[in-house]
Amino acid sequence: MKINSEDCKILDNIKMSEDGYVITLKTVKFKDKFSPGNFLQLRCSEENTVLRRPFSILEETDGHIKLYFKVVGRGTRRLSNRKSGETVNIIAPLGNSFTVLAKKRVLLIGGGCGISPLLNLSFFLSKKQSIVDALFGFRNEQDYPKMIVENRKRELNNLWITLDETNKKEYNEGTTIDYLKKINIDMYDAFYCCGPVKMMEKLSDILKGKWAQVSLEARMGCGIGICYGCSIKTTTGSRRVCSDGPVFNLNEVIWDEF
Amino acid sequence: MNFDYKTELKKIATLNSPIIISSGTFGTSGAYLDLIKNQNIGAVVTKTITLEAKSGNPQPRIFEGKNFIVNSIGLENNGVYDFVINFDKNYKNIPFPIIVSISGNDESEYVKIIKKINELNSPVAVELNLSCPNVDSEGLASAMNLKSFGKTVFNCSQVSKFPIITKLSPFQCINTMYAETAEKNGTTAISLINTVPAMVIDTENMSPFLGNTVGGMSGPAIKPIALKMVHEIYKSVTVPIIGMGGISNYRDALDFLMVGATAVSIGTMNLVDPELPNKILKNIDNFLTKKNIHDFDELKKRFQKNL
Ligand SMILES: Cc1cc2nc3c(=O)[nH]c(=O)nc-3n(C[C@H](O)[C@H](O)[C@H](O)COP(=O)(O)OP(=O)(O)OC[C@H]3O[C@@H](n4cnc5c(N)ncnc54)[C@H](O)[C@@H]3O)c2cc1C
Ligand SMILES: Cc1cc2nc3c(=O)[nH]c(=O)nc-3n(C[C@H](O)[C@H](O)[C@H](O)COP(=O)(O)O)c2cc1C
Ligand code: FES
Repeated sequence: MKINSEDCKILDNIKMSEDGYVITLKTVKFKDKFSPGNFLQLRCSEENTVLRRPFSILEETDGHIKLYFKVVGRGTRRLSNRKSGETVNIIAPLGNSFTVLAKKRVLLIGGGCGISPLLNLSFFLSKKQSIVDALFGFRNEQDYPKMIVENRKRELNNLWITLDETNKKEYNEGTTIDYLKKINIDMYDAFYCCGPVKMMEKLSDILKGKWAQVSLEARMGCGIGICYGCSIKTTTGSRRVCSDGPVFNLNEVIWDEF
Repeated sequence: MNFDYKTELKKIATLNSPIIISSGTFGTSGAYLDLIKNQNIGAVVTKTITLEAKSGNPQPRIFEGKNFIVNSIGLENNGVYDFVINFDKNYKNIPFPIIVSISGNDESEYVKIIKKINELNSPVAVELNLSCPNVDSEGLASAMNLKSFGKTVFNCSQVSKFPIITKLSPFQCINTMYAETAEKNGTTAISLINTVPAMVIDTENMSPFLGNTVGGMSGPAIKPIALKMVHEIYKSVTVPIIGMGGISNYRDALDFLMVGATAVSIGTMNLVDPELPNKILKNIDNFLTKKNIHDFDELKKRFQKNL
């Protein structure tokens, strides 16, 4: 679908973790129009911010778009205060999408709000009869949006949660990178990753030579491919995260500029 | 719409509307054509094209402040040869007149680029970006020298089969000398202002924020600076002025038209709201009706009387 805009009514905006929210937007135009990995550009406010903010799609069903966002600055703080009944303007659908492999054994590796596009993807993967394991990492229990993840457990074969600090048995202490060393990665056909840049860079070392896709974040001007604000270096030259990405092959990203 | 927004830019073209989309903030539009095709846009300016390809500056390239941004894209583009080869493919669907923006490292480079652009048929003008703060000092240095600035405008006007628009940096608008020199050397119109050279620091980490250390500031915060410059240059030249800097609503557009701009241009805010042109025109329509003003000449006169 071509890029378009819509004023969307906020259906609800619910706190899910210490600084994480799930906001639900009503859409008519973009019903069934998102592929896994797509994102949108949302105008958090017309007064407090200049640019739009990019967010991945957590889910879109029956014209209800769900986004999982964390409060990190001016725009997301404003968004967390928006109430149901108000409207926000979005531009969508943006970016390319993950390759949805059929009948494979795959591992999702996510950190923080990076779990959002991966959970969206898990739905499409399981529809294509791939077996999906997930390894998700958070800072601590307060940071872990348990409800969101548990909601999607049906689609997940194994789910491992790591917390930087924890003494509870149901979690694993440490980072996703630490935990990955305990998993036999050779049993997977494919890996899908999204999370903080440092984590993605480490993954690119560990998963060298494997089939792996990563969804990247970059500071964006437009999000629709016109300003070159989000260009990064890849082995195939300069590419725009917003329109050539956000999904790239993990081994094509050159990390030294991040 | 109650008014005729046709805008005559001397021999460049008669535009359907006084609203232009600025260089570096339009793109090639293939992707977002659905958003803009029904906008009443007078013309669009391409991203600045250089002679050779440029890969642009390191990340991060964009900082956002409260009501401004600072960018250091670094004129990322594939060079003029690639631009000409792919022009039809990239621009044929665009239903607006196209102005090609170019920048060179020295006088001779500008002429080389113009000769290549001359192979095209559809652009309505060439805009000389003599001001971009994101190319290294060479570009700006040659353009900061009044004599070589004048010579560049003269040579381009002579060689180009398209009318020339000279785009000024705010540093070239401190007084009216550059604008007057551009007029004397054959420019058909003047556009101003380009971004304001600027710098942002990541205080916590004690390091520059932008990958390129320095960049150019744009967005709502720079409007008063730009207005003052258009106001002064309007009094000293007769060529049409395209005013820009921080336009985000109809009042901003009206302000530029009052102080002397013939057309206005939207930069940063096109990245945020590509549907802004029609919103602006609708509100201008209401404003003119309410004030019983019939056209922009009358608007200008009403303002100039209050000076
Ligand atoms: C493709 C993509 C998908 C994303 N998906 C999600 C998501 O699903 N959930 C979520 O919580 N966050 C997501 N992000 C990150 C989110 O866009 C930023 O957290 C948000 O822009 C911060 O805005 P702010 O005003 O609160 O922060 P501030 O720090 O005040 O923002 C200042 C400026 O920096 C930019 N910025 C700051 N952090 C980031 C970042 N990490 N990535 C890109 N730009 C940034 C902002 O857009 C703004 O222009 C995504 C980013 C990208 C590029
Ligand atoms: C992301 C970005 C890229 C730009 N690239 C160019 C460019 O390539 N050439 C140019 O002449 N001006 C460029 N500009 C400057 C704009 O055309 C305009 O002069 C300036 O931003 C002021 O207007 P604004 O405040 O409405 O953005 C760029 C501005 C931005 C924000
Ligand atoms: S953010 Fe503008 S090109 Fe990607």
